[in-house]
Amino acid sequence: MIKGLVIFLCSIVLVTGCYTIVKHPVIIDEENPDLSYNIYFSDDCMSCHSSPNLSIFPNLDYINSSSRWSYFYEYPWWHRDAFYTSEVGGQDNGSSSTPLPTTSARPRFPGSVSSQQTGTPGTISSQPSSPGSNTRVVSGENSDSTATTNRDNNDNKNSSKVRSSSRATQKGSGTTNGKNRSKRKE
Amino acid sequence: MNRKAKYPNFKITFLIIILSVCFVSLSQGQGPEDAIRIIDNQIGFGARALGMGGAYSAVADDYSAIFWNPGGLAQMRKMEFWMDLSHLNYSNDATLNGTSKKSSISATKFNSIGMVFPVPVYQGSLVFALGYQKIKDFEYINDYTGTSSEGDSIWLGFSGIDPNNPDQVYDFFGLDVHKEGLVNDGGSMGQWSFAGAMDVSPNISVGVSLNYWRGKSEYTVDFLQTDVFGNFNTFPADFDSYTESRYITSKYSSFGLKLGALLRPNPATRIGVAMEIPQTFSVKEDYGYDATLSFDDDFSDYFQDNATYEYDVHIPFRFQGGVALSLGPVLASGSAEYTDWTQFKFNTSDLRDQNKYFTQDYRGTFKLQVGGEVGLPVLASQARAGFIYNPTPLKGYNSEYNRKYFTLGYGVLFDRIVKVDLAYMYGWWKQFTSDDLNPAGTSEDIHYHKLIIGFSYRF
Repeated sequence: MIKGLVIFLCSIVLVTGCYTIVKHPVIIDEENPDLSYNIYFSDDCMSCHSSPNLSIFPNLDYINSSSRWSYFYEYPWWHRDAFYTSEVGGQDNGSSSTPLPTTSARPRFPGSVSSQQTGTPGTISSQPSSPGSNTRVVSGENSDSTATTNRDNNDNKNSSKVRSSSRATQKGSGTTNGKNRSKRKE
Repeated sequence: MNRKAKYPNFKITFLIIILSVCFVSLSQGQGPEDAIRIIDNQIGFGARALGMGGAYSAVADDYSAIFWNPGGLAQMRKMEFWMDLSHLNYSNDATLNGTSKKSSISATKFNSIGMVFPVPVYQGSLVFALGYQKIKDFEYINDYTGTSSEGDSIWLGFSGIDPNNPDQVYDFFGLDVHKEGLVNDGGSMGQWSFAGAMDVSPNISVGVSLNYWRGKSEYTVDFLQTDVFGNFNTFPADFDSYTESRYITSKYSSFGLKLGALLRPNPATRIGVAMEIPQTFSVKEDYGYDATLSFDDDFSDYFQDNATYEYDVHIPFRFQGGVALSLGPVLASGSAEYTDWTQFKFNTSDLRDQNKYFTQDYRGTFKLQVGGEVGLPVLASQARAGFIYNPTPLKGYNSEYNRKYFTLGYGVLFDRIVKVDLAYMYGWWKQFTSDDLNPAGTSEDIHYHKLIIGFSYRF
């Protein structure tokens, strides 16, 4: 029985490939291949991806339109910080049209801007930035300062400066389903 | 002068022979029904799932997916703590040769407890779950009374009662006697489960649950048979009454594996498929009885015995499939489960001769389940309804013997993280039951009520 199970699971992986990604690919700067960034769950997905497309549940309008239901069914626990920093759902009785917060408000890697890349249905889309891709990573002013961004270097001056530009870009670009940040903060 | 005074050695002879007769019957006591009952009429668990009639293999988006379709676990994005309780009432209107009597039994149970752990992912899904759930109740009651002349001396015959012809077997049957019986059963079949699920493509999730099945049934019989009509007056068969208290405590254990997949061909449709691979149940039965046989001359004798039996039951593949459609605020779902009861087998050598009865008396069945759920604008709540059609695995019975359940459910979400679900099930069907003490059997109208309350905390 156990042997059969192992064969079955291996067959699935071999046939389908490793679709599920537990670790985000390292982002390599297009213009400076020596510059790379690690991506964390608390990073701003929207700075590279146009839509996290969290909704893998059936297209039920009351779930899609209610932050309360969306939070219960769809919103990943590893993004909860963003939820609690928003005001969504406070008085929601389940019928409100308040949209679900889509991502963290804290971009963690410098210089990123949103693109038109479309999220993969059912997932938080996340594609590595590589030469030829339509994801653009803009390095900070001191882009020659190499380095892999991590949680500890978020407060350095360079990343701080770039972070504000990232936020401004997102306000303008919005997201699919009208879930832009300005609405979320109502 | 009674027997004991007239025949001083009577009791010893009588007792030895009775026990030998009983022993023969006991060693052959297990039959196909003892194997079938292990998983027959398995309800499942989860207030939301059962509120939707158990049509959940294509929905399966909470901890209960571990049972309905482990592939559905991949839909979960939050950790979940889950538990539920149930209260059931089983009533039986039993008729023995035209005389009816109603009885009922209730049981409140802690039904399930579990945790779901989604692993943070950037793409796809990877989810684990761990817990325990009761998926079948053994509750049964049959309180019958009536007159019967049917019987079989193999099952309730007595030899050695005629000192001049000790090999002659006598029984109560052929002429009317009054019978009363109270048959009780209780217990549950549960699973300790560990499951994992992952997305293997944007629209396909697969999962597997490894289950350690463990169950216990406590079956008791209190039986009285009396010669109220005075049909047995002639020595040595001048029976007056026979009483027996019997118990069978059955313990079940098995390892099982359930594989499942969930497909999302479009945002409004989900398709669930699942399969339970063949498994072997180890059954250990503790059996015992106390009986007293009394005669018209006030002589009575007392018998008792107990024994333990162990045997293995092979259960074949079981397949499930279902579809769920999202239409505005409505989620509609249907599923079917196929079990081929003819492929059940005893794996124990001295019971293999019973295996022919699985193909002879049983059949393959499709259990059909349909249900729906609608999101309500009042509070953050969901209302549900469903229907279960579970055919009897026995051949040759009409549709009245198929188990039917109508279900209702309601769920409320509190503060985005706590969900309380309620479900009510009403089931009805007919069945026919007989045993060695009552070979004529009872025709039974069963009414089943079950209330389930579930609690889900997502964080």
